[in-house]
Amino acid sequence: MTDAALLELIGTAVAALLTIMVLSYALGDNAFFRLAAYLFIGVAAGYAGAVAWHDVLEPRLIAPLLAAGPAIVNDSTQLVQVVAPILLVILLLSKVAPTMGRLGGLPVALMVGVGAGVVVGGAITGTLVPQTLAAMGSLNPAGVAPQTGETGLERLVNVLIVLLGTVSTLSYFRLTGRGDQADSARYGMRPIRTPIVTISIPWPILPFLGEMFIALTFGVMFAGALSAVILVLVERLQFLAGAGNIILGGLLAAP
Amino acid sequence: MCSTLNLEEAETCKLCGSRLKPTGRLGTPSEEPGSQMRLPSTGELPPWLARLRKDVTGRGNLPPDLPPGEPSAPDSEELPLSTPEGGPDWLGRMRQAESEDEGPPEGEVPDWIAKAAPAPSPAPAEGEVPAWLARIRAKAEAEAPIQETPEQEAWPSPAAPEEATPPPAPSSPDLIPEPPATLGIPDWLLGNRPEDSPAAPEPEAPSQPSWLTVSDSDTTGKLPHVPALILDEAGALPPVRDEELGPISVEVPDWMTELQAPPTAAPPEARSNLAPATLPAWLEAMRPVETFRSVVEIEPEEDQTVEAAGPLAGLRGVLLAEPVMAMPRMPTVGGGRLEVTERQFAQAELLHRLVEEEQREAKARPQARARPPLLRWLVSIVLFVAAAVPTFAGGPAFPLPLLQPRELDVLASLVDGAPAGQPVLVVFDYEAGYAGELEAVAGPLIDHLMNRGLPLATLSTRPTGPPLAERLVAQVAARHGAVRQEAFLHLGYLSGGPTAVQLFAAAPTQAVFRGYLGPGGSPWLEPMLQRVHALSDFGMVVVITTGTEIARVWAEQTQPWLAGRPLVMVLSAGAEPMVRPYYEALQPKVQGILSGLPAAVAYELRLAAPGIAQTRWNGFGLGLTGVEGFLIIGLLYGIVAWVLRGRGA
Amino acid sequence: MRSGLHFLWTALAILFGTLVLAGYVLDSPALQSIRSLLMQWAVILAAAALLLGLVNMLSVHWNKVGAQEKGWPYSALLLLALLATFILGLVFGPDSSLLSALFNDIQQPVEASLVALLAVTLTVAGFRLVARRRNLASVVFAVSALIVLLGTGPWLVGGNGSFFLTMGELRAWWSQVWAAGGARGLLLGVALGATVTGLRVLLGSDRPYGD
Repeated sequence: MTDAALLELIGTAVAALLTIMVLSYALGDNAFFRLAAYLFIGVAAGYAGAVAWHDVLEPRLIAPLLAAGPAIVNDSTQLVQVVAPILLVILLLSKVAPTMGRLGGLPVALMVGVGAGVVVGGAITGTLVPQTLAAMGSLNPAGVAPQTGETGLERLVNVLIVLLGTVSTLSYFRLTGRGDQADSARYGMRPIRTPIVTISIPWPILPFLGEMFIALTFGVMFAGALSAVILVLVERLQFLAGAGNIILGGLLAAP
Repeated sequence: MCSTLNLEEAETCKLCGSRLKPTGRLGTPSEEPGSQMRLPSTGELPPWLARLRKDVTGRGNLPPDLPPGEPSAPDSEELPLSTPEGGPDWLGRMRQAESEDEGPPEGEVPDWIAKAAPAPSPAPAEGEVPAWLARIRAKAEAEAPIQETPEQEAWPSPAAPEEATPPPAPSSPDLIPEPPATLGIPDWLLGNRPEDSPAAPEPEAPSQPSWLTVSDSDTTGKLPHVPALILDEAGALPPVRDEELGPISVEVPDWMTELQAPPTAAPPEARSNLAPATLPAWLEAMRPVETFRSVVEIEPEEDQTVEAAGPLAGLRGVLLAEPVMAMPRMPTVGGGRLEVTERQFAQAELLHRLVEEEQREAKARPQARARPPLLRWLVSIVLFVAAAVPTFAGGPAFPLPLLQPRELDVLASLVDGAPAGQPVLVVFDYEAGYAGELEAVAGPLIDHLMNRGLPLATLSTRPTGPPLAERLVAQVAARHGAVRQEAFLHLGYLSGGPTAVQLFAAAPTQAVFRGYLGPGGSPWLEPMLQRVHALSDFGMVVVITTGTEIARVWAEQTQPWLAGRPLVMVLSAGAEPMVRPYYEALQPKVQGILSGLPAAVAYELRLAAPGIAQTRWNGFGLGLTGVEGFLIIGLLYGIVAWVLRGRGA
Repeated sequence: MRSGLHFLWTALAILFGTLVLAGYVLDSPALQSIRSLLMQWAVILAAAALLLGLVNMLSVHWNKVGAQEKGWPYSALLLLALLATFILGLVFGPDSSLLSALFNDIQQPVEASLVALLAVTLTVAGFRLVARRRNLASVVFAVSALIVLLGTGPWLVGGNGSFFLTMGELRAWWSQVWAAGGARGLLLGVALGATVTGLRVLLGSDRPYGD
């Protein structure tokens, strides 16, 4: 067995062992599961840090600085693209020390401000306006569904359902600043007297319909999530089966 | 001087013995209390009086502002007028309480004093009479023979001529009005006054000193005096009269004047209409019972302290300069009884019980034994067996889907219509844990793209994206014989979330500096990316993700820069509903969707290239069947339990 | 000094955010240059913030091991794995075979197994929901999930039959029309919330960057 094959065998065995240790949580919490979980967190954090350094910080800051040397101060482009970010990074890392943490407000303010601008711009131009126009434009009787090709009554019924769902779901949300209304009921039950019997209907009706549409949508998403994790479980069990074959084959093949 | 209420006709105070009426004055019953008194001049006064005046006031002469009509007394003696600045003149002339020793010398008793009539009614026994009253009575008896004569001198007025004669006797029987019918006050208490005094004399009677007359015609003969602060049962204060007090300021309260007034019987009809006043219960409850001393106790004269300093030196019964409240004293007997209602008592008991419970040591509850998670064990066993049986046993085999979803046709046409030679950007933005699902779903699409010979450039906004991209693309590329850096390459990791996506969309070459598994330099220098300077230089953008947030970010941030290039989403089954609105809009931001294993299997069938999706189809079907079974059983259980509970109720 | 810095950071955040936001509507080369520069700085700072998070995690578990709190051996294992992976990544690079092996043999299998465990958790949660909570929203949730599941997965019996095909059509109509209406409302609500949150930062009402 070559070294590469041996290393691959060891790696497969470790992966299979860790998979079994984690899946043992189905029987209950145990030390094997915790061991595997803590090992995973350490490796994942270390890997993320290595990637951040290797793919972003080192090529953007360290490599140009080392390449240019002291002459970097004469290059205005490098000053802006290299020296200024280095200073910002130093200020950000100074937040580790509480006494120096005040100066770290500048890089944080930059990240927060830029992030807020991006989010607001994207939300308005990418979602709010287009989705509102889509909801309005769908009421055009002569329109044709662009992706499904539906027309006529079928399209009209579908459009009305989508519109009702959109409006009622929005009416269920309460975007106010008053904390006392955060948990209050969106609707109540109103009794309606008929000659035969008194029935209770929810009022106002739109928030009630919105709650039902939200429950419906979450049910669809729940079903989708179940499908996804079942597929992952199948993949894990198939891996275990394959790993078992590899390990057994490797052990049998070993002299 | 001691502010004790005295009778109108009293000439000396019953408490301190101070003279209430000026000597020689012809007091008339018609005089109003506080009416302006006219002081005789110094020369007109008897020597002893003049001496007193001088000692008290500090000057011998009267003030020049005496009311007109009054003869001014010659300044026989300087009478010191030691009045305070701005204070009334009479204050400076107040006599001391122990004026008995400074009484008129022998033989110079004014006539009006001598004419004090004796008490006609028998006095009570000696033992029942207070000492101060006995003293007054004794004095009155001593002065009883003295009769008023009409030849009494009046108080001198500035205008009237004065005579240096002793002041005449006080009000004669003609001057002193008849005592009215007293309302219960015994005669012995009214013995200071001569009872048989006739009607009020005229103030201008020549037989009496002018200083005894009252210039104010409106006066009704009441002597002014300051009433003592004695509160009766009703707590009513005597009315304060807003009137000038004379030199001897003794104010007769209203109740005294009412006692003197002739009884005016109210008509019986009016009296019967008046119901006795009763306090309402709530008002009665507000009265502080036994917390208020309704009667100010006045110490007897001999127990009162003698003022030692100031203008009131030598007087008894002087109000203390210090507030009474500052003097420590024992609380009154029975003061401050709290009235508690039933509700308050109940609340107090409740609070007491709550505090008691807190102090009680809580018994240690026995720890409940943990029940085994039978349901979780059962579900785990069923799902593990269902997912593993097709893998280990080969069956059962589920039928492959015959119908292809509508979105698959659109997607396939997009891939077929992608411009040749232009690289396709594939974004791997999912967690390593979902690699099992998304590698199966995205596999056919990568296969289709490689089938068409389109170069692939992978990118990720997650640190684990590049190795995941390498796993899938390398696996598919191996089937096609594709070589890294020629058929596909990895742009690496892009940090910053939505900001990074916007930066890459606006200027891709300024966002990525180093690739993954590359030669080490800038990936933009590779041949397959040399013509790429903007996002629109890519033939297509494919985003593989499980999260709706990432899909929404890419759909929002990249649209303005794609310039018509299609954006395709490969999604986990749970994220499809939230991306669908971008796909079905009139101006869609997402041109293609691929979601779920059935769509991937259908794609593989369309391409006639079996892949990972079909290998997991049977396990997927059996596992999903197990889940559906549990949900249906749960639903039936819930319905049965609801029906049974409804029947039981 | 504290209040002055605070106002300075607020003013700068508002300035930067406004410049970036203006780039969505104004097409000015100078504005786009400044905008691109600001975003590059933000991208670099995001990577530095990731390293800062790593330092924080290191200190927390280091203190735990030093104080020998409950579970400290696990923290020691975490520290060992973190430092080993990070140092190896700095030395050899994340695209080296060693780091690839660490990723493929430790991180990916454990993470995938954790996701696989969700199958058991979600199924148990779904069972308890339909068996115990009986209100209209729960019923609609459960029925909707069942319709999608029955229409998604293959059937062992009657697969590809007419009823199965009808169920598939029902599932498509249910998820692509009924759920799409609710999803569009949710998307609009999320976008509104994100807009409000971003505007609060741009207007200085929210200052999450401290003093």
